Amino acid sequence: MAERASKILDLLENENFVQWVLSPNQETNHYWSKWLLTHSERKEDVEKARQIVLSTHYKKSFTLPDEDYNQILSDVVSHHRRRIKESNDLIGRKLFYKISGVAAAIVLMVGAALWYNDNTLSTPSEHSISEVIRKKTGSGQKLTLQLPDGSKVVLNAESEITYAIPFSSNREVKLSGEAFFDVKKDPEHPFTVLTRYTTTKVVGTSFNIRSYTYESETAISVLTGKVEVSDHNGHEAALIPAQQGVFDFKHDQLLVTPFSAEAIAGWKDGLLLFNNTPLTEVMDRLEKWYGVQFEITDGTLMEGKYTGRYNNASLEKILDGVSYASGFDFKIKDKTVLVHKKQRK
Amino acid sequence: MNRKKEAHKQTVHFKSDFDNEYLLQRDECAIWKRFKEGDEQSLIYIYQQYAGLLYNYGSQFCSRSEFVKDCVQELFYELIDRRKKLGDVRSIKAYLFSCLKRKIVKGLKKEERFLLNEKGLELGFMIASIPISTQGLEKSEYVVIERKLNALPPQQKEIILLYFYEGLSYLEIADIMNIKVKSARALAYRALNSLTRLLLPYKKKGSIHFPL
Repeated sequence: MAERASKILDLLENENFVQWVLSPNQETNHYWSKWLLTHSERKEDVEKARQIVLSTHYKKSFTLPDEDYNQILSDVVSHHRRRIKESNDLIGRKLFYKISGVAAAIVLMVGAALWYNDNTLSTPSEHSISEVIRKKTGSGQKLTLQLPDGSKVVLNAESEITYAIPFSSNREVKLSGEAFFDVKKDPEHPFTVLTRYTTTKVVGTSFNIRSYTYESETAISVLTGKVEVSDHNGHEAALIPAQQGVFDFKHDQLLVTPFSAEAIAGWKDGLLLFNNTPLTEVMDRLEKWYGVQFEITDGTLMEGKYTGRYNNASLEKILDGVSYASGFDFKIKDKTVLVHKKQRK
Repeated sequence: MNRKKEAHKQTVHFKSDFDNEYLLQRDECAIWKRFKEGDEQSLIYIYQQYAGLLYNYGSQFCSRSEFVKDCVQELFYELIDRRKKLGDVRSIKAYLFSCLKRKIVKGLKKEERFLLNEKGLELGFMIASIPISTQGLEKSEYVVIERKLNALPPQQKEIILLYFYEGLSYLEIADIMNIKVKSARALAYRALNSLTRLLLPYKKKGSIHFPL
């Protein structure tokens, strides 16, 4: 009995044995099967020792939630890029700030906005396809829908998606505006999202696409899985989680940058984030988010920046914060927000 | 403008799937070296391999998940900041584990909310012995083993988990626990010795004697 125990102890003590049990490879398999041939009386010892090693676990195991995993990865990669740029020359440094500016997904309003143009979403040919489904959101609206293949789409305000039925064998959707996709895995039928100039191809993954026609950029931000993106000018990249591809059509270039999952895809969970955001942009986003119009009554200057984080908050609550920080008063009247100078008491 | 174009090219041709040989072969020495040179893919590889394991390990002796998350993130930040000064490592995993542990212990001490027992962290390392097969061990043996393992001093419990669960060598364990390799061997021996003595004799060898 004591002898048995010490024989098992011999095995357990041997780190080569333990590592063979935990992660066998060709070499160690060969070694231990040969060893067993010459020590056939030790077969039971080996089995017992194996079971002891394999049955040992942490009583409680802790899993890093996906969101945190992605967030930390994205932060770590950003930090890495920042340091790399810093250690490069000055030009490199300048470029980084340019990229990080893009990563913050600041809305680039292009003058008088190119508004919706129904022609940008051309209807597929009528011969081969029986039915075209079209879903559209107005300002202040969001829409969650499930596609026939089980994929989930959350459509942000002022966006439109079209796809043809039957869908499952030809998974292709057209998008104008912004949407978050959680694509059902189906390696045989790749899932494609077309925007005006870009093509995004995936198998099963989740990602956000922002492609408003009045913005000069289209951003594809990957949360999980692998995504291939390309545009009409032949720029292409393969993206992994925590990366986003930003097609800048004004300068005809594609930038791959890290991003904050919360800042990019938080909208689908009702999260409104302002991070040193210029007031004019804050108003634009509130207009779209709540479907309201701002009216500035007495030439109050909308200068300055605002930082805040709102989770499914009311417009009034947000405006309380913004107006306090920026020194104006407001009044909400139906779908209009009247802004005027603060009255001196 | 020309320079900008060049830099832009660089980012576009960032290939994200691990198509480099050293990553495919999981050659950790090469990966570590490339990481020290500033290679992003190697950084991502290291993160993907170890972030989850680090979080689990850290949570064993600190129950506040936000704190552990912060420690994991800081750990990677510091690796990046000090990358040029980092030495070669024998095992990335062991190196990260030891850094994380030091960080957590330091952080907890600073807060003085947890008085740490220097001999080991009393808070964690509960071991479960989960039957994985009907072969080899008797059911009653699992129970006895689990009870015995959890009655071990914390340091011995930790060594058992690092050795049997994390699959680390004595050398790596010594690094993490900040002890000599010899002491790691001795510690493991002590724990394993008391453990194996609990095992039942083989049935066919005679009567069942329950040792306790």
